[in-house]
Amino acid sequence: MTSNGIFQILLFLAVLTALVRPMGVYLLKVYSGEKTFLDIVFKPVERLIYKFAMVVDPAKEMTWKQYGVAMLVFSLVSSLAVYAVQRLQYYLPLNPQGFAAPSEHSSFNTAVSFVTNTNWQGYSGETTMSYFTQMSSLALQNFLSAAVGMALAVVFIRGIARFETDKLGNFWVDLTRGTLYVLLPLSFLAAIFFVSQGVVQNFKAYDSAKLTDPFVVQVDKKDSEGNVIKDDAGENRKEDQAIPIQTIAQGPAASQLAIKMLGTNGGGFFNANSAHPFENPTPLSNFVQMLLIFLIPAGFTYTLGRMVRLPGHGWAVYGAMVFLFLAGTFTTYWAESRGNPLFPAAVDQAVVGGNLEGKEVRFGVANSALFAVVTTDASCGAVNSMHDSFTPLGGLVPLVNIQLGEVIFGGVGAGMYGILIMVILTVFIAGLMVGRTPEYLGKKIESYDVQMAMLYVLIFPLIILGFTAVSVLAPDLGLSSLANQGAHGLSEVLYAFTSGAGNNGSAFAGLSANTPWYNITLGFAMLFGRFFMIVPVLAIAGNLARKKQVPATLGTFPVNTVLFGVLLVSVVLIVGALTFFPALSLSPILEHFQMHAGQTF
Amino acid sequence: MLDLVFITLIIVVFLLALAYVAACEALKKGVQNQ
Repeated sequence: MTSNGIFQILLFLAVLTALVRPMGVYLLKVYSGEKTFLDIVFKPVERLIYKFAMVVDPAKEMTWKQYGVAMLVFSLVSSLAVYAVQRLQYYLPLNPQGFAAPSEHSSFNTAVSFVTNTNWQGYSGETTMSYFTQMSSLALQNFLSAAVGMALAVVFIRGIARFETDKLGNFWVDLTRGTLYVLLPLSFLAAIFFVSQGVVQNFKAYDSAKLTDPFVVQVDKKDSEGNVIKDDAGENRKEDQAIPIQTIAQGPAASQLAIKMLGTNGGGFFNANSAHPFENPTPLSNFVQMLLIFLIPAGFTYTLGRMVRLPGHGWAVYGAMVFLFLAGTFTTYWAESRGNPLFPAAVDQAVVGGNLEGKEVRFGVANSALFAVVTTDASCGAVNSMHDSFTPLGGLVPLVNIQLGEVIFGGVGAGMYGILIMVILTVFIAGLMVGRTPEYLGKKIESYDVQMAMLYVLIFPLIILGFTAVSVLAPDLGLSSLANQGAHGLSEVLYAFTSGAGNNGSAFAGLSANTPWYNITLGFAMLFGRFFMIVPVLAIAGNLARKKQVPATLGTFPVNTVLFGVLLVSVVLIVGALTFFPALSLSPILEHFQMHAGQTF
Repeated sequence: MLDLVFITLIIVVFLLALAYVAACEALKKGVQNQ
């Protein structure tokens, strides 16, 4: 680790912390329906939307069930629309490359991926999706799925803040205001900034350039009818193919990039995501991209404190998140800085800062490690380096970050309701320790709240470990598209389902996931990981809102102290460790020891 | 044909989620009656 790298990480945290309060205050105003400085622009648009959508009465608040049903119906319609646009893209406009429709299973996977805010991509953007599909479906869902997550976080906070009511707000109003007042203006500013840094934004057909130094690749040899020729051992015969031309992809990347980061979506316009020079050209664009990922989730901690009339609670939650974030970042940075011990001694890895495989030279080890932790702490999933190429311990941290439930800042909204579930468990455990009925901000935590919280906690590992187990036990389905065997191969499969269920979307690149098996099972993992976890969250919110206020006494556990923060961190780590340690010990942890014993995969 | 299969799959999962909402509410009533 270098002092320069450490300084950049701390600078990132300092800038983020400075933005927490202004972002939190703004979110509070937007979701409380208060006047904002953008009212002059967006208020007429908001009114028009409600007028156009005649079923929406913005003054009418919903119960948790009505809110949940509205959210599910909206997401169902969105999923079907994204599926249809992909399947019909050949006949739709803005398709200068003439791309055909993706396969049915790929379209299913992509549709649920973008609607669930996962943005797992089994396809390569620049060779699969038309500009129309990218803009009308994928970028649109980047906004809407993020706005849904934010709305749900606000509902949960309302459930905590309100007393003796079953009304939690109006889904359509929260969705509209989150999109109009938060995501759109910030994305617009960010897109302009990214264009200034060199990110492309156009509708041109792809350019091609004649290479001054053509290179040769090996491809499968085919006969005159296009069939692959096998040798005597049954292996595909290879032949050399010269590549004299480079295709340079174009498109409206900057606008999609902005919301990809701000909405913690993570789906790259280009296949290489934020490692692509047109999607992340400079160290400054890299810094701002990371900042955008954490901006709204960090701001929500301040919003929480203000809405529950205890600002110290918001800061205590923020402090717990920062502690876990720094622990992950420095562990990854340390692991990557040490490099790979299997390199010959003559190779001085310290010259380049450590393990540079799969990393962009212009970002280096520190900013690759920081980006990997930021994108997996949040449910973003954008990458500026290949997590598959990290050292085993360096790759362990992103995997663990997602498995902890993405509560370290987390996805926009999703991180907030995720950490609040952990807060409820923390208060419950603290209550058990002193033998009192647990209380949280003037409310008694009762059996139904804990049952729903445990449902939330248990569904997550059930999806991940269940699908992973079936995949590794099915050679023709799960193992056939693995690039690596052994512990590293297990990491690749485990990471895929962790990323899907956690609605993260990043990948250990060694797994070729664009197969019917992975497209369908990951599609289910994303759907269950999103909606089957949201329903218990809404149920808790509804139950909390109905409770009477209990006056605080000397025995009430304060939730604005360092002790609370320590207990919250402990609960997050213990729940995650107990659930996933056995699987992790067979994948990255085992791989670490095998690497030191000289074994690679 | 496969399009219909995947569209049906999406709809079924969302119907399950709607049933899940009802199940969570039923559980709440069950807990209150205890």
